[in-house]
Amino acid sequence: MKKLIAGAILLTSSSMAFAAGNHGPAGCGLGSSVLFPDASKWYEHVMAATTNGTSGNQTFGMTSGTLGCQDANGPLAGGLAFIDNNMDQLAMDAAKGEGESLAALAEVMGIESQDTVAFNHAVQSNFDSIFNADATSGSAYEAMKAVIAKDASLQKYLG
Amino acid sequence: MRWSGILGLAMAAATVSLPLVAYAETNDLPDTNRLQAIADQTQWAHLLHYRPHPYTFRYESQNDSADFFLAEEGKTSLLAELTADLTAFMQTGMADNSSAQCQFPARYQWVKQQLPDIAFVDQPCSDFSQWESEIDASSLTLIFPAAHINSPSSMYGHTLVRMDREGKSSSKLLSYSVNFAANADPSDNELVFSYKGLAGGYPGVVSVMPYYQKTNEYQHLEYRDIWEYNLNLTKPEVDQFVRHVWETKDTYFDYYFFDENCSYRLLALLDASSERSDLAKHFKFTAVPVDTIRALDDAGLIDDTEYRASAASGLEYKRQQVSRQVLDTAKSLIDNEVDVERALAALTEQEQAQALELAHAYARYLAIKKKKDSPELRERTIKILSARSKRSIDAGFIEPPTPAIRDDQGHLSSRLGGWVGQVSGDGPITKYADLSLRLSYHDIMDLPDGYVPGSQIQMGQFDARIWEDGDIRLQRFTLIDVLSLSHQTYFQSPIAWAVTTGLERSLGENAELYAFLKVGFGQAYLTDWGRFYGLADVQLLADNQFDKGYQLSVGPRIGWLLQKSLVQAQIEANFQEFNVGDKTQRRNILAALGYKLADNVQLRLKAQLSQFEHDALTLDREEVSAGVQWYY
Repeated sequence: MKKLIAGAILLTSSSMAFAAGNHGPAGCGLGSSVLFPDASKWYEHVMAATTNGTSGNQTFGMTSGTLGCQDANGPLAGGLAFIDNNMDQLAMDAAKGEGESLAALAEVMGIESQDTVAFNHAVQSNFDSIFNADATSGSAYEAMKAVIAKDASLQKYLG
Repeated sequence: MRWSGILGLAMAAATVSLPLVAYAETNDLPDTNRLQAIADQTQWAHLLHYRPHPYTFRYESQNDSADFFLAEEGKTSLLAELTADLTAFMQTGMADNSSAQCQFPARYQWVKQQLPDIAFVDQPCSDFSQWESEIDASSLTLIFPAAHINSPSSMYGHTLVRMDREGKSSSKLLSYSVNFAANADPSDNELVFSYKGLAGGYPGVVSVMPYYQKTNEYQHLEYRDIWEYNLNLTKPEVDQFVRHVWETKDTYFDYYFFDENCSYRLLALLDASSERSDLAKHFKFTAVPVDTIRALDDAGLIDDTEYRASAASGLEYKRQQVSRQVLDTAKSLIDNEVDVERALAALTEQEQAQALELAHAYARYLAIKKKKDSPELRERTIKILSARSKRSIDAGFIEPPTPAIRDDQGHLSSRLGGWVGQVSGDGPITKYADLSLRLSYHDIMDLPDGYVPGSQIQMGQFDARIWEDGDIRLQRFTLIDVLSLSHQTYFQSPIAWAVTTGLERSLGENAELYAFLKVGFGQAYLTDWGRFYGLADVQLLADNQFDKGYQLSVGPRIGWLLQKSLVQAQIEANFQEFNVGDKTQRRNILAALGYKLADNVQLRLKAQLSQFEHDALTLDREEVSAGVQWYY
């Protein structure tokens, strides 16, 4: 048996090391998720996750969230890691103009509660520029920033 | 090992009473009697995960990693570890993040409280402080993904703990969650995986990740509803939990599927964090996740519960809120190459939004559960969302309501039954009595509340029988018995399936034990009059009672099942007509009736007719029986 363990992946050691910042403008090596990836990939994922109580590399390979990306892009930076991990859920919420994932994204990006209606509306009405067939989480993130830049009530979040 | 140096110093300081490093003012180590009294406290044992081993009776830590201890004999001596830790906690002038205080903040906190007369000097721990403030926990919630549709093995379940931030407005998805899991070797196949999972071949590790990673997995990929139990731990207890989770970093506990599993370890982590909690001790041999929730509930640690419907539950619930026209439109948007706007034209604006949302959910179902791997499906899905985004109207769906009965409110996990019955046929009527024990978990004729309808998983069932002439026999042993009768719906077309293996006998006192493996696939339909199902059963029976020592057979298995809260009923016919090996054709017809006597007591009646045909000779046997089942 391989005693392979390095131990608990707490968001510290690995992602805090990240925070020192060797990553490019995309941040944290993220930004490559696509919308609705091929079923075969889902299949493996489901198989891996179905076996209860185990998650092997699946858990360990994943980024530990927004921490560590904060120095990457200045304002709104937390958004990228979240988009990277939640593309499919976000696309659905964006199309509807509301939802739990979209609300979480607004929170990560620091959008205050009085502006979330404007944020939701901006994302919904610019759906095609953010979540098209060629979109990656990186391009979705950039497109979202562009949408925010154009919106009078949201511009301020670009800092 | 950056700790070895400090460890050396600590040991030296503990044995030679000459302090080698600068201690906090006034203090030497307390005398041994006092240390022993502290080391004897339950809480100290909980912090170090000491538990009596159920088989060897050794009392030692379940943590299997040297990094979890400072003392060399820390895994086996509570006092040695306390002495080493305390010595290290009293060191001052440590560089940032290098103090034992930073490695074991929960132990430090607790030891400080036990020794108020010692003036400890807090050392800088910037890594921990930053991590703790990022987690920002103010309360804990136990998360229980319910069984997943069409995978009865998931009924066994999994639990994790979410560390919630303060304030209702902050997104739960962004909270961090604590998960204990086996770090399985991805190159192992399912068989090796199962073996190692049972035998303890994998290291179990605590990991911390955003909750959205778990909801994506359970709610959206595995289609499991999620139950969330808010725990009423105080802020100091929550803080101690967070500190203790940190202590498990870079350490591991051997993972055992039945006892030292995810749910057991979470209880042990809670035990270490709260003096009020002493729960893991109830689970020496098995820790079924749902039972750990019941233990938390019994201990008064659960405040309230919340329900998070899976994508599948959402789809099924919303499907019932729209007209057939909307359904057909939604389906054709995905199944056919159509112009989206033209297909929607006949609907009202709100119906259009509904059709688009249902179409999206259906497309996700196809991609995830049906493994439809096509670029067209992906393109259509994106096109549908694009069309949805052009409609600002709300679809007006009512979200799935919280089920009246939670998974943890169903019957208890183990079952004991007493039966009497008689067999008739070729000879005189013979009577018998059975004692039946099942370790876990649920069959389709059990009390259905709190369980997935049409879903069954049984592990470890033993039926002992005494005949009227005094003969005592093992009548049946079921190693595993899984049955999934997920029904067809407008959007979903799951495969019903069954796998079971064990030892059993045919009807009659003279019947001998044989080994069996039965596998079936088919479909199930849910109607207002119950669930109908049909499977093609492949059965392998082995024993020297069979001609050539075995029989491999194929035949239909059709049945009807009614699962009401008070009354349960089943009729099933199984004709194994086509066979190799032994040429006997076996036919079985079974009728069963269940009645709920109390929350955990059921009355059952059963009648079975078996026919064996070989070379135009037929033998019929009938059995009728009645039993009372008690769930505990």
